Amino acid sequence: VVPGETALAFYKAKNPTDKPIIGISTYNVIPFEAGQYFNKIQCFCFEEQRLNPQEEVDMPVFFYIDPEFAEDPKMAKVDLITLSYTFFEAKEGQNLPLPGYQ
Amino acid sequence: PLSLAGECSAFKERFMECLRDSGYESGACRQRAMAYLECRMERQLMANEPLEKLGFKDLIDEKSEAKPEK
Repeated sequence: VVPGETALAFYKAKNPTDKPIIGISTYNVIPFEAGQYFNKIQCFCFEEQRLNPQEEVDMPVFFYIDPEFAEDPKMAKVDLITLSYTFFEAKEGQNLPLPGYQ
Repeated sequence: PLSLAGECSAFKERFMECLRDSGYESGACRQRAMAYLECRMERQLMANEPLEKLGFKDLIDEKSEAKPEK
């Protein structure tokens, strides 16, 4: 991937259970300092997504690395940026126990 | 939105094939990336944006300069 050039990447998600799952995903960029240069143009994140039992979907992310990345001396040694996604299950009306309070 | 029916999976496969063949050089596969996004936009699986604004201006300009194909 070249800074400034738009790029497409695919993730795949599968619901291995026998119940539909509604999830939200959030992403993370490593190294942390490279995150400021990561610009996503389109992705599947933040919105709730429903996956039926055994359903598998491709999830595209369309992004670019800000060309300023190439000018930042702190990024000179960075030649690998990792984008990872975590899928959280979104449950309605979940009552989380307050730690230490009963 | 999620493409649950895999409407554009053929375009995705062509793109992935290109990535594998090129040793994962993203720049070598921009034509096929563009085709994939066009597929999604045509099927309302992605907000419509002019391709020039998605970083494909050079590919669009090439297309319009080239002689019309079959």
